[in-house]
Amino acid sequence: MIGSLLRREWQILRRAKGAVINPMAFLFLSATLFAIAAPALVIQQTSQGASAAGILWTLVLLTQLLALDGMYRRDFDSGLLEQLLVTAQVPFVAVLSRIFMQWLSTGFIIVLASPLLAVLLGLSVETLPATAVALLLGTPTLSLLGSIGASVTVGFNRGGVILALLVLPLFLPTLIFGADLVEAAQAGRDFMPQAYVLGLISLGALALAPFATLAGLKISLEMQ
Amino acid sequence: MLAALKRLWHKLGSPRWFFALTSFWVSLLGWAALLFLLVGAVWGLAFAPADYQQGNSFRIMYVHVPAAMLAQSLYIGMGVAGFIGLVWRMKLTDVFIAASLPLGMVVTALALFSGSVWGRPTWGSWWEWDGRTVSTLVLFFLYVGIYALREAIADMQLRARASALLAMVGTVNIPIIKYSVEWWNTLHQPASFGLTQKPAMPSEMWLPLLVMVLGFYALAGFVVLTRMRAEILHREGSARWVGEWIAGRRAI
Amino acid sequence: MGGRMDRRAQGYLMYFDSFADFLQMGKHGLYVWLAYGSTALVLLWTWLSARQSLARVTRRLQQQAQLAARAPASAGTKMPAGAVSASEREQNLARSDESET
Repeated sequence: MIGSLLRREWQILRRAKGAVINPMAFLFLSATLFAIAAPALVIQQTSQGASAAGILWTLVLLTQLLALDGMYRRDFDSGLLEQLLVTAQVPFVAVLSRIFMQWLSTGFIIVLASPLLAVLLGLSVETLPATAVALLLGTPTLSLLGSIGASVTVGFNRGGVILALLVLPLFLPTLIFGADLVEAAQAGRDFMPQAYVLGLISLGALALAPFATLAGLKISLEMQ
Repeated sequence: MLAALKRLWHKLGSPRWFFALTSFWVSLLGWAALLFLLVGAVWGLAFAPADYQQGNSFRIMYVHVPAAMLAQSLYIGMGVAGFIGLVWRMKLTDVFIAASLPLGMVVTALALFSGSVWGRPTWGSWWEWDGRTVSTLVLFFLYVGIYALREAIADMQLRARASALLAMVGTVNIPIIKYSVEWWNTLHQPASFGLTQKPAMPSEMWLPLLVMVLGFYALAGFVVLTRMRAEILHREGSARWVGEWIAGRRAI
Repeated sequence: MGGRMDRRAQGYLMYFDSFADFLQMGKHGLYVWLAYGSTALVLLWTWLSARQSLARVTRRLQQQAQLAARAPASAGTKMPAGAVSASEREQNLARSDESET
C-alpha cells in the first residue's frame, strides 16, 4: 500500500516539474539578489561565516514557504485529495507520503544543490559537508510543520500570507540551529550538538505533523 | 465519583450553565482586579525601594513582568482549550479562544512596549534582540497568525476547528521556540547586566510584583469571562433561557 | 533619621520625599510614566471594550425582544434594521437547537 502511494506521488511529481524547478530557481535568484544588495555580507571575506550561514538558511526557509503553498492545492481543486483521503485505508500514511514527496522535491533537492549555493554565498569548501548535513536534518521539519499550515490554508483564495504567518514562527528553531550548525562548522567548532537538536526537532515534527495535517485537510475539505 | 466528574464535564460544556455560573465570578474578578492593580501600582510606584543598580526604572518591572506572564499564559490557555475543543467537541472552548485572542494580542504588545521602554535606560537602546524579547515577539506573531486565520474563515464551526488546531500546534512549539531562542541568545547576546541573571529580590520588591501579577490575572479573568458571556449571548441569541435572562434585566 | 531611612528601604514608608521627586523618578521619570501610562490605558481599554461588547449584545437582544412583543405575528418574518441578518439568525437557531439536546 505504501509502495503504491509513493509510486503515485512520484508520478504526480514527475508530471509537475515546475514544482521542483521553480523553487530552486527562486532560491538561486534570491541568493543573487542578496549578493547584489548586500555585498558586504556575501562577497567580502569579513565575518562571512556567520552571515552566509544565516542567509543560506533564511533563503531555504523562504523557498520552502513558496513551495508549500502549492503542496495540496492542485489535488484540492481537482477533488483528488478528497478521493485520496476517502479511499486510502490509512489516510495517515497517504498524508505522510505526500509530505515525503514534498520534501523530496524541495528539501532534498536543496541538499543536493547546497554545495553550489554555499559556495555562491561565500562559505568555505570545508563547510560543505556540514551544510549538507544541516539541511538534511533540518529541511524535513520545514516540510512537516509547513504541511500543517498548508493543509489549513489550502481552501483560501489567497492563503499565501496567512500560511507564512502561521508557519514561519514554527520554523524558527530550525533556522536557529541550522544556521548555528553551519556557523560552527565554518569556525571549526564541534557541530554535533546542533545536529542532534535538528534531528530531534525533525522527529518531534514527524510525530505531530501527520495528525495535524489530517485534521487540517478535513477542515479545508469541509470548507469547499 | 467518575460519574459525577463526567456530569460536571458535560455541564461545563453547556453555555447556559456556564453563563449562570460566571455571573458571580465575573464581578468578583472585576473588583479583585481593580483592588490588586491599584494597590500594586501605588506600592510599586511609591513604596517599593529603588533598585541599587537600575534606580527607579526598575519599577517598570511591576507592569512589564505580569504582562509578559499573562501573554504566555493566555496563549497556552488557548492551546489547551483548542485541544479540549478538538477532542471533546466542546462549543465553549471556541468561545474561550475568541474571547482571549484579542486580549492576548494586546497584552503581548504591551509587554513588548513596556520592555522596550525599560530597555532604553537599562540597556541603552529601545530595542535589544534579547532572548526573552525575541520569544515574546514570536509569541505575538503566533497570536497574529491565529487572528489572521480566524478572519479568513467565514464558517463558525470550521473557524473554531482550524484555530483550535493551530493554537494547539503553536502551544506544542512554544517550549521548543523558547529553548532555541535561549540557545541563540547565549551565542549572540553581548553581556548585558542585570536582567538575565536576576539577583534574589528582597521581599519588599517582589511583594508588589506578586500583587500586580494577581491583578493582571484577575483582570484577564474578568475580561475573558465578560467577552465569553457576550459571545454566548450572541451565539445563543434565540434560546429560551437567553430570552428569560434578557426579560429579567432592566433596559440599558 | 537613620531609622526612617531603614523603614523606607524596607518599603514601609513612601520612597520619595516630595511629589516632585515622585514625578521625576530620579532620571527615569519619562520611562516609568510612559510604561505605567501605556499599561493603564491598555488595561482600561480591555476592561471597557469587554463591558461594551456585553452591553451591545444585551441591548440588541432587548430591542429584538421588544419588537417581538409588539408585533408577535410578524416577529419571525420581519427583521428590524440594524438587527442580525436572516442567515445569522438561522445559524443561531440551528446552534441553539443543538444545545438543547
